[in-house]
Amino acid sequence: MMIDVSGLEQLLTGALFFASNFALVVGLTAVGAAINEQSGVLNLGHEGVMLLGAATGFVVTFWTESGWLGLLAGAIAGAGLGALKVAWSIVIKTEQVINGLLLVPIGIGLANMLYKHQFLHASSPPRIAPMPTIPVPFLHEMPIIGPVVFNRSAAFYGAILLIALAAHFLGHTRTGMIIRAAGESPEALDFNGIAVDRYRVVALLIGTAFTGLAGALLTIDQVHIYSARMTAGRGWIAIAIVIVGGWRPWTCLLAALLFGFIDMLQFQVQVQSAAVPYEILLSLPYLATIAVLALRQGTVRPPAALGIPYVR
Amino acid sequence: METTRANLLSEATELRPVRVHAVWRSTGGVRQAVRLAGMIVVPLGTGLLVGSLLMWALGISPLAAFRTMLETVVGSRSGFTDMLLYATPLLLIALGYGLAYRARVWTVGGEGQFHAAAIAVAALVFTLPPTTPRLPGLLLMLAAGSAAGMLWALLPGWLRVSRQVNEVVSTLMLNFVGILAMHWVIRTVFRDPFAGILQTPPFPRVFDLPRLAGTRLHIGLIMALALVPVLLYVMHYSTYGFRIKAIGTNPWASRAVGIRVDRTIIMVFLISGMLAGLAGAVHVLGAAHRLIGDLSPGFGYTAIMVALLARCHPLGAVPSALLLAGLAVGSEGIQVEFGIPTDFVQVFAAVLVLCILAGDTLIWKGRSPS
Repeated sequence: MMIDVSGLEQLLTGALFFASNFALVVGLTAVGAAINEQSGVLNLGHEGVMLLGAATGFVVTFWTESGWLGLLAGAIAGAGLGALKVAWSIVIKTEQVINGLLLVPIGIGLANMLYKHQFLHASSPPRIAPMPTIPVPFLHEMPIIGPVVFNRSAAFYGAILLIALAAHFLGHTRTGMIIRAAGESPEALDFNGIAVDRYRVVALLIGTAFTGLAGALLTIDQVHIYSARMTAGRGWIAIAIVIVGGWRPWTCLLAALLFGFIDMLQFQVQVQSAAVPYEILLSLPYLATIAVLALRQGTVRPPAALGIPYVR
Repeated sequence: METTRANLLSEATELRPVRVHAVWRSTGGVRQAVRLAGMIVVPLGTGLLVGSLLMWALGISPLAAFRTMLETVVGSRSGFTDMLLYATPLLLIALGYGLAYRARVWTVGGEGQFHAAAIAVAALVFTLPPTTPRLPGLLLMLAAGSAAGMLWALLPGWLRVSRQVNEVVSTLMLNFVGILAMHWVIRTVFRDPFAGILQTPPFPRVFDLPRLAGTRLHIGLIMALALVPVLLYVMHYSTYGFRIKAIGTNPWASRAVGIRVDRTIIMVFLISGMLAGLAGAVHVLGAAHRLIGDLSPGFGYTAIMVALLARCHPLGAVPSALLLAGLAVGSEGIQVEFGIPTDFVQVFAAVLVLCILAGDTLIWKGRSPS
């Protein structure tokens, strides 16, 4: 009986561990996308931005052996693609759906080029050392929750803190409120003598930096290797999560956790039994994305000026 | 009523900067010719410049690289054939995308529809007796592939119309599902037990698409080219195309003048799905001759850039498909020669489209809707 309970506990802990990893990466990306969209700029390029962040973070951490530098590099790479989006969405004002979509092949292509350029002749896929875990005193001894939440690396805690900061930034600071106004009613902002586009630029750069950071978190803190298909649609799921989470950072993280459970479910069932074909399990997160969008849409209202360039 | 419709038509042609011959007709004169040339030459030049910079960053001479590409694609018969084989599904999918994008239906689901069609075709190939007469058999398969593509497009179309679900996300999710579904079908039903990799046994020779005299090219290329004027007619000379453009320009006004917007949008989804399905069917029957794990090198994604490069125009889709197919095949030559991975191609193509986009918007500034 005792063995059974500890076995179950182990299973649950492992499952939650996977779910929280998925949720953090997707949640951080969703927060980035939410910041973009709150300012009125539709950015569909997060899948590409995330992979570029992942590759850049991996390469930098591999050579410098510093996880922090890798995370920073990932965020900067993300913001770099964000700058491209700025030029096409805000300066030139081309169709936002298309120019966001084009960030995906650019990000994916650059990421793979960077990785292969560095490691083309490596005999085995290079790995980076995981970041050291920092157990939170007392809390980490809690069953199940302890090892999942309170015995993680500093990057894990930092990412959660960042989401908290984003929630505070959007909801309670002057800049955050102006960004939201730029997405709701840019004319009103303009009447008050505030440059709409300037705040949209800020929101785009911050949002894409979040996504780049999420990608770097994936390689540096979670997987420790890079592969061309590692994001596997996470950037797209994040865009759906923004809608599900109603453009609010904490709700986005919660929705990401839901998807983490779905992702974990497929992983666990796959390990436990061969009865359900793994292809069906693998497609669960994608199908869930569509289902959740269909259920949630209409109950939340997107920013009024989303996707519409501001022209005086 | 008639005047309102006429107004809407003029609005539709004036506001959408994509209709090249309308531009020509509306103004005429040398200045416009220069502009049109600029719309093509300047973006291409910029794209080429960025591509060269990328090559230079990778440590190879851009000139040598472009020469290798050209030699791979036009210097050998097999390279040229490869390019045309690659361009066939690209062109078919891009024709559908072009139609959809005109209606501002941003479907990117060609990849999933392609794979759905591949499943349908394989199911028929392995269930029909080999004694089936060839022509009806093949026609049935092509029809089944197109139908599977339509079916795969139906759900996102219906969700967009009934629940305002963003079609970019829904079609993209179904791309992942479509590829996984094909893997599942191969693994559990049609797997070649003697192969180490995930693939079906080769299809019986009876079910090969007819080839073009003495080449590896198949009739799918002719079908794709034949569909170009059809799409041209539908988009630019039929009331249906007018409705599509009206919806793309102003859905509210379209509804007000009695266009059934929802029904037209579903139709757009179905047509683009059908074309992507047809692409899958002809590729499987004409080029791959079996299902295999990595059946498509991302045709459904490259076709997005083909459609955009062509400014959603059916005639433009032909050179665009050839260009991107040539780049894809040529980059493999570069990979062989210089050991450089082929990933720069998608960056190059996307930058090219960005340049076209920027050029159009800057030239049409003040006249384009925003």
